[in-house]
Amino acid sequence: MEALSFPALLAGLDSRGDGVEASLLALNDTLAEDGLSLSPGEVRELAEVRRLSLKETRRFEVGPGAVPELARRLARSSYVCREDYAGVLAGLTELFYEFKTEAEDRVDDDELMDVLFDLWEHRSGGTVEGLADCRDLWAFLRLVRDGDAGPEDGAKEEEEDFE
Amino acid sequence: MNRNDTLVPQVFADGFDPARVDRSRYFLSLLDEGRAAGLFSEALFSLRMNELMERLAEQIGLWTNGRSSSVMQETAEALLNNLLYLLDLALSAAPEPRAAAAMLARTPVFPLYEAGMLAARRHLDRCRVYELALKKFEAMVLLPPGPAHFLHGGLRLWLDERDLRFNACEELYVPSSVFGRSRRLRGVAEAEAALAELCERLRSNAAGPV
Repeated sequence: MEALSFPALLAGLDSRGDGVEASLLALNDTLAEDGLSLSPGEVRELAEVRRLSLKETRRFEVGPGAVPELARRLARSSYVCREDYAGVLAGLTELFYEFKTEAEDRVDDDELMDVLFDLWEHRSGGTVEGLADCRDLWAFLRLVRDGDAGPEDGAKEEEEDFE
Repeated sequence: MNRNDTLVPQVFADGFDPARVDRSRYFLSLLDEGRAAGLFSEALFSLRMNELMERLAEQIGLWTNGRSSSVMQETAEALLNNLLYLLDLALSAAPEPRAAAAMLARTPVFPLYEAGMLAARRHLDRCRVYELALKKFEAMVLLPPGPAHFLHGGLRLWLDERDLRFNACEELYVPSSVFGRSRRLRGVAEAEAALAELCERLRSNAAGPV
C-alpha cells in the first residue's frame, strides 16, 4: 500500500476523470437538437485531450471543468457538423488551456470563451488552425497579459512561440 | 445512522501505532496509518479523499472568485498545502493520535476544514494580541532594536498578508536578531507560539534583577 505523499496526492487528483466524461455524455440530448452528438469513444478521447492539455500547460482542474461549456458553445456555431464536432472541440480544448496559461490566469473562463468563439465565428475560417493563427487572438493575449496589444509584427513571433 | 456511521468500524484495530504518525502531515499520516491498521475501511478512506478533492475544488473557486475552473499547478499545490494545514490544525485538537484518528473517522472534511479555520483564526487573533504587547514593550522602551525592527517589518507584513483560506500555513521568518538564531515558523500556530515566547522573555527581562 503506497503511503500518501503530497506530490502523489496531487498527481492522483490530477489523473482522475472528475466527471468530465459523464458531463459530456449528458450533453447529448441538447446536442441532438443541433444534429450533433458525441459517442462514448469520442468522449473518452476528449477526456484524454483535456488531461494531456492540462498536463502540458501545467494546469490543475477539479470537476468537469471548461470542456462541457466549450462543447455547449461550439454546438451553436454555424461552422461545425456531426463529423468534425469532436475533433474541433478537442482542438479548442487544447487552445483554451494553452491560452489560459499564456495569459497567466489574467482572463476568466467566460471572457476567454467569448473571445474565442467570437473569433471562431468571424475570423477563423472554421478551422482551429485558422483560429490559432488569428492575429486578434494574440493581440488579446498581449492586452490581458502585458496591458498592451503590442506591435502588429509581434504577432507572428508569438504564434511561433505557441507552436 | 448517518452515512459515516456505517463506514466506521465499531472496534478499533490494535495495529494502530501512534508513533508512526507524522505530526507535520497529520491528516495524510492519520489516513495512512488508519488504513494500514484497519482503522479505516477502504470505503471510508475513499470517502475522505473525495471530500478532500471537493474541498480543494471549493478553495480553487474561492481563489478565482468562481471565474476559472482551472489554476496553475503551483497555485493548486499552495491551496492544497494550506487546506491540509487547516485540517491538521483541526485534528490537533484531539489529545493524541488515536483520538485524532477517531475524529477523522467520524468527521467529514468540510466540518474539519471549518474547525481548522476557526483554530487558525484564533491563532492569528492571538498573534495580533502579542503584536500589541510588543508595541507596549516598545512604548516602555523595553524592546531591543532587533525585535523592534521585526515588529515593524517582517511581522507587520506577515500579519497584513494573512488570508487564512489561502495562506494560513505560510512561513514567518524571524531574523537572528530576535531570538539569537533565525527561525522559520510554519503557519499561524508556530507564529503564535514564538510571539508568546518573545513576549515572555521580554516580560522576564523587565521583571528580573538589574
